[in-house]
Amino acid sequence: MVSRLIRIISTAFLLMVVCAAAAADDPLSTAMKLYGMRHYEQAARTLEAALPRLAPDQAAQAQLVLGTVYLSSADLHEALAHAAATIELDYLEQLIKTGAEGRSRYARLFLAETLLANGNAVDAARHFTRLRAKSGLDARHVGFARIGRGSTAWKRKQTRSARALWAGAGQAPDVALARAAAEAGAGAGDAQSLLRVADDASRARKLSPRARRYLIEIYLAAGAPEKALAVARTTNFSAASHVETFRAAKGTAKSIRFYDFALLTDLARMYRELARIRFEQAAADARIKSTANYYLGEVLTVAGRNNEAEKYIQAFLDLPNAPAQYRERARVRRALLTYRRGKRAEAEAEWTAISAKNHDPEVLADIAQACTQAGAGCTKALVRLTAAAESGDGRRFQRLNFALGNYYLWKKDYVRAVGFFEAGRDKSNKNKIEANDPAMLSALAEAYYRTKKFSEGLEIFFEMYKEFPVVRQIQEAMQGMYSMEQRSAGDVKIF
Amino acid sequence: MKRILISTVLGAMMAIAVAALAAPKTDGRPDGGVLNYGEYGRTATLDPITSNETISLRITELVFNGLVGIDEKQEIVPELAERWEVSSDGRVYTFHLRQDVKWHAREGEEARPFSADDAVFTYNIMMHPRTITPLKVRYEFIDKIEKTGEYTVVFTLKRPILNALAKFSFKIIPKHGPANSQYLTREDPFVQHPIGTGPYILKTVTTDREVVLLANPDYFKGRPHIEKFISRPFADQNIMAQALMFNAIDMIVLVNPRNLSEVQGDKRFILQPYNALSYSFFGYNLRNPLLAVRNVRQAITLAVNRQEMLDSFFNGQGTVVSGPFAPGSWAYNLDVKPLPFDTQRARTLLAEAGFTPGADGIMEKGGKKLSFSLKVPIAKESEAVKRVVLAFQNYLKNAGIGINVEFQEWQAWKEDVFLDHDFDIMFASWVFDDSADISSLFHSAEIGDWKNNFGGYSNQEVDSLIVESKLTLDHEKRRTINRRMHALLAEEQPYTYLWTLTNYSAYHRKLRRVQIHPYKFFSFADEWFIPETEQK
Repeated sequence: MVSRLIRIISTAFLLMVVCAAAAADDPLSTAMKLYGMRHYEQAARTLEAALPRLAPDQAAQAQLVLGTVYLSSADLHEALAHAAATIELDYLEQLIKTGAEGRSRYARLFLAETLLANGNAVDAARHFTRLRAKSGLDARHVGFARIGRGSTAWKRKQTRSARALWAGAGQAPDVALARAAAEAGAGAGDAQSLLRVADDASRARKLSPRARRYLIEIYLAAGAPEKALAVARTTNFSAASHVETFRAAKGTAKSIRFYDFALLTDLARMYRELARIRFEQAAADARIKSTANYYLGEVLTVAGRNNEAEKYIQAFLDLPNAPAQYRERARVRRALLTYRRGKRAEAEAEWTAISAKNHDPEVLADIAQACTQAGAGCTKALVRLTAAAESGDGRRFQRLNFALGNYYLWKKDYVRAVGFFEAGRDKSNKNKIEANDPAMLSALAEAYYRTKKFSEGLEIFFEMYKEFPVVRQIQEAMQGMYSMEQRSAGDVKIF
Repeated sequence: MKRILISTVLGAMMAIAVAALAAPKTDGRPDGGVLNYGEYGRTATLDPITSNETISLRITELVFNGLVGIDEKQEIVPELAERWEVSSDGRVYTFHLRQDVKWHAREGEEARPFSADDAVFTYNIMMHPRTITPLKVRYEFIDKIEKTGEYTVVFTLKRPILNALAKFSFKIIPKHGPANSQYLTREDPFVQHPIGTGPYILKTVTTDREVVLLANPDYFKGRPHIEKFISRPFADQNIMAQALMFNAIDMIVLVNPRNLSEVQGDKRFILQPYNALSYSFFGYNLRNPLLAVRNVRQAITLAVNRQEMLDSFFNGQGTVVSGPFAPGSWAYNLDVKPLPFDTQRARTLLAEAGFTPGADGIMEKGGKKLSFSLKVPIAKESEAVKRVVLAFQNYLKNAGIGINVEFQEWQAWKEDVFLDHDFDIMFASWVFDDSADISSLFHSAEIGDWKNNFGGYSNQEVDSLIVESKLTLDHEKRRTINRRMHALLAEEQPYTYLWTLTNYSAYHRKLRRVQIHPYKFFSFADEWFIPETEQK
């Protein structure tokens, strides 16, 4: 959760930069409109297609907007990954515990892989180890399990053991890709040869969802996020990684669908890297360098690249004519870096000071987000933030409410989290991404899941699926948990 | 029989916590005040057995209790039963009942104590063949009920089932309640003037069908805080929202999507989402040979632009659904897409079924016109619903299908649809609890007077799937079965499934500690309160 930063980029700052030259029907305006409606993919494609045709000054602006679109996609996928980790881990653990007719043979593998992708190598290793003794997996998945074990060994610095496990996993095409992805992720292979493996594999006529995920991982590790994006764009995110079908003597044969959780974290990384590249390209134009620097500071802060982030943030703060709101927001971000360096009291004091003399809900929202990202209590600042959110109009203070919702989600106070999210939610467009940041909707759905209001959460993801089909894996897991946890009599009435 | 105690400890602890509370609550919150809440229609019956709509459900939630309850965390909690035991084979449920519960007193009578006789009586009258209730299908898994002590009842199940304990949340009615002690019909005075054990006592029902309920001072969980609940019916949701804005009422159970923005912008009110498990539909009477043809039903759905209606009449505040489950349900098949709007395809399907256009443009076959009656309850006669019905009529006209719309008074509509089956097409909405149980809607055994399979739909595969889903003890298998059932019923189109709408309740900020049950609504209303300064 610490690495999490949910953010709605205010389009105002971008507009200041790009609107001067933009005609109503030019690609920049079109893209900005799509971006404002949170149709990120369409916005990105519009700009990507237009870039080769744009004059240099417009191209730089387009790079900036494109970077922002990617950054919002990254934030969204990070929020989705956070929700998915909670829900999918619960679901897979329940499947393992279930002693009903036909226990799943694959649930433990997917549980181990999810734990690994979510940063919990210790528990992942425990489950991978137990899989070793378990029969019933097909040879391909036995290979994946072995590679997963290798990755957990690598994380525990057992490099020789890791390499041996990877090497002995088998030679099936998907398994070879899994090995390459594991080595790439660990930094254990030569980037060029891994790229070749991925390029060769990507030419196959048919690629499984799992193979596509590995390709994305390899391309990311090899510094080729555009290639990863190309793979992502041809991936059917609704498709399960594996469907386990059980034998039935009579009646309906049970089936369970398993998905690759890692896809979500991969996509978050991919979009963040793409954003960074675009901002760097935009920064080459002196006229928008400062704006690009502002966003570079943001993207690098979230990526945990603190020293680089500080350089850009400071450069922005040194500008004599930086807009006041964004100066304050940059100060908030700089304090986050201070906190990360261990100067916690100093950082909290800075947030408290900024909150005390600031009425701008955007700045206050940034403080709440920074506290969440830092994992800081921010007791003093929070009093001010809460008072501001409660006294302000819910929709105008939407972003502050969302940020406070995220803060309480992190604090595991789910009822308060729901309260703030709902205060900021546009009720007359309840689940519409055009009116509500999809990253917030995902966080709200997670909070509803935590409070066992499953139908509210599912309803959110049902709408989100129309624009972001990658949420299917969360829907399936949440449906599974809902099915197990609901306690109802079986009633139906005329409404 | 060897028994293991599963929930006794929890039950006992909670029983201690609430024991001897037949007195004011001790939470320090003030008693008093009146809550006027707006309903979008009138109640038909007020008892928990014969009623089959949510307006009555909300009232019965205030008046009655079950043996067990379900809290906001989806945990089973003690209600009239203070603890229970389940046999190791999952077939025998023994409930130990509270001994401090009294029935609401009828005027001029002493309050009588609740006992095991009432639980036995409720089950028996509910399952009597002549009792009018949609509940029987839910309890066919029970083999027998026995009173083994003044405050002990034992249910023996035919087989273990998933979530059995939750099924015992059905409301208990008093043995001395109904005039007819054998079976319950809508003619029994009890269904209009019921007495229960719950936090509120039904005081009066006015000629305008306003329902007045008073706090039960002897409620076994402690006297509820708010002194009086008044349910006020509104024929139109817009007017209901205006009544809220002008402080004529304090709460509305369902905000019209068109009013959401206005209510959200007013800081006096809180908007709370509370349910997603509902959808509207046009249901078909398959006793009509024309509607028994699947091509005709599919053609009707294809001819209707549901998304356009949703956008135009409900500001897009909802989602078009593809099948018999609500999108927020665990049972919804995410792979099944709603049929598209395709008038040409509709006409092709009708042609394949042998229909040709008549001189007036209406399709016909063998001299029989493809023309139907559509019955709509007046309780749903909001502007939006009127527009939906008229749009439906126009869409179908374009496909060569005639529709004669008839708006009916609520009770007459129910009788035509559920009792006499005198309709071709009807408009309504279902709402489900979390179990997403559609068995009463589509199983062929549920065809009959006052049963929910009003259209007479019968399909052997659907019947088998319903039975299979009830028999399995495997959650994932049940999901697989429901996915198949969804796909099948989407293909079959016994209804034209329309949409699920955004469900928000709105209430004045003076109401505190408000928790809304997503299905039953008032389950936690005894904890609500109004600060003394805001009581008037």
